[in-house]
Amino acid sequence: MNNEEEKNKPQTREIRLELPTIFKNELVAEATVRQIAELSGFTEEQIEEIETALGEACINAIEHSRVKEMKIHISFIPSDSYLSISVEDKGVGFEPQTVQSPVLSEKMKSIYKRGWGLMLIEKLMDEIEFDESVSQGTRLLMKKYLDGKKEEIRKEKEKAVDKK
Amino acid sequence: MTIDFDITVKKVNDIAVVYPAGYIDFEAKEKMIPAFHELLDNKIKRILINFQNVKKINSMGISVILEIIDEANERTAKIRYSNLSRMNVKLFKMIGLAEYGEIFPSEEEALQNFP
Repeated sequence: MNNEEEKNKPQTREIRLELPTIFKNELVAEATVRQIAELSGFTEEQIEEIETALGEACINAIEHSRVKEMKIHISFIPSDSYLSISVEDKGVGFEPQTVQSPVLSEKMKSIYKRGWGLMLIEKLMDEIEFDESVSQGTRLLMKKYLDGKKEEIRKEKEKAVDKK
Repeated sequence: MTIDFDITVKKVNDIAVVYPAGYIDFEAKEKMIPAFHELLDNKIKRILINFQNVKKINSMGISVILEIIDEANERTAKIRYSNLSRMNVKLFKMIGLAEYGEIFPSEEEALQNFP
């Protein structure tokens, strides 16, 4: 099994969702993650943040994959400490390092007022990264920690390093 | 919450109170921009956008709101916002929209002392 196949192998607690790349389907993803996040024990405020970030990730995939009649593949892996979400499309892909963080004052001077999605995702989730190992398209990985868990995990990691 | 977008306007003295309803995404542009153009063409200088019937605004919807703010600025009209949900207040603050219009918890408060 190669690396990509290994990554695509379903994990025990994983929930998968496949959506056509049609606008407004991001609302289906948001409704799904709301239920998962509620069951995981997130606060209502955190759930709103996760919903919004996922909605933006889906919109990016729908819009920027530039492929009609394709699917967005979403994976949710809840754990006792965090919720991991990946959003993948098999479209044209993009280079995240080329995306500049938008500045409102500049946007107000420009005709093009779009481009807020990635910035919002970064602010609303605890961790995000683009999986550069995908052979085609884009896979965005996001993580949100349950209250207090991020700090707990950080301290455990520090302890483990100190022991070495 | 319905996801179909609609917009209504009422006048309170010479302030236009705009009530968008539904999901504000790129499709909202079709109704929002003409509604605001009409107000600005009629020389309305004070506009309050009451978001009580809006649960979700996505980033494309934000860009529509930015276009409206831009147009209002050019026509020297002032905008205020009210009744935003907790998440939408957060969205506005993350983007910096509070610099282009004050946010109020209620319509009553927003209508007071609107210069």
